[in-house]
Amino acid sequence: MKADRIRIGLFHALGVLLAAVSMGSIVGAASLPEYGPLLRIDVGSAIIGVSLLAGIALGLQTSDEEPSGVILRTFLASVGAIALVAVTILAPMLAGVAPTLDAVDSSGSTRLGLIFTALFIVPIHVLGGVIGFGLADSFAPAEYGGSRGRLEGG
Amino acid sequence: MIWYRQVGVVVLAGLAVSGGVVWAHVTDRYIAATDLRLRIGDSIGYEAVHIPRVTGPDEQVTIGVLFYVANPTGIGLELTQIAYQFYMDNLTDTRAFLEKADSIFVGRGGYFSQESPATFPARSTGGIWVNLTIQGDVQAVALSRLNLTFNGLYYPIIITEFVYRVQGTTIVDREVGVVFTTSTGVAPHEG
Repeated sequence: MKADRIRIGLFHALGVLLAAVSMGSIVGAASLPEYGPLLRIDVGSAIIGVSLLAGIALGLQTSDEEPSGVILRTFLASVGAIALVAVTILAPMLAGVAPTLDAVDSSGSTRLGLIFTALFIVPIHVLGGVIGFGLADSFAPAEYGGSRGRLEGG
Repeated sequence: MIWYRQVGVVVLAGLAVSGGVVWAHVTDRYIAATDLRLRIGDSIGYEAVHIPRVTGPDEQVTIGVLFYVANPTGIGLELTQIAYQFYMDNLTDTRAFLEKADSIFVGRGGYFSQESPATFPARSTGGIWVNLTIQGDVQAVALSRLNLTFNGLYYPIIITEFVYRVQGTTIVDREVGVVFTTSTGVAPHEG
């Protein structure tokens, strides 16, 4: 039982990590369109699309649990993604290449604006998680805690 | 594992891997481009100035300025424009440069190549010649200003502006006010 809980906990942690990395990396790359021809997507589309998709995928990982667990995991993944976006914006300073970015790049208010824009990841990702939870609940048979078959069987 | 959980895992893993690859690519370029733009002032300068001896008032004289580019960063540099103003200093005129600039101005030289700019890859050095031709028959004043020596030496002043593009990005920037002066003079270039 304890081993099962640890295994489930690690599985959920991995899901949170993958969601955070996927959202943070794609939104971060979309925030720097001048530097990367590999990704031609605007920041808004990246935030909405990737956050929702990752949220649904994370919500599908629910086992027999309350929605609060999904909400907590999606929130943690969102915080991780925002941290990764901030790291991306400040990368030259963190790499020791530039003492400040004001002399080279956009103004500090623009960079701050990009980081604040990334805050929209939180509600969209949580929403996606709830959607995924609902889908998982409707797909899962009763023996896995889902509602499929349970309502039909009475 | 139930099928929908497998779908979720595959989607998350796919997004994370593809996002990670793109992120690493973009962030690496961002850091390298920032490094280049901060160090560009120390990376561009003058290697040599060739001024032929003026032998006649109707002569056509071609001045050559060799610019060096040292790119120590991890991203390439494309020089799309070099524009300089060439002056020949009059050592007997002790006024400040801004006051006497009009009286010692010789001409403008430039390199403008948007389609095939001079490219300097990452961690490379190179040079580029940019010439200025003075035709004595139609630019008599310029030629006379050019033909000013002290103890057989020229004392040119060159002010250059560079426009460059960070390779592989849409970043275009400029470095202005790169100045060449000499206190020891430049000997006339033979040949």
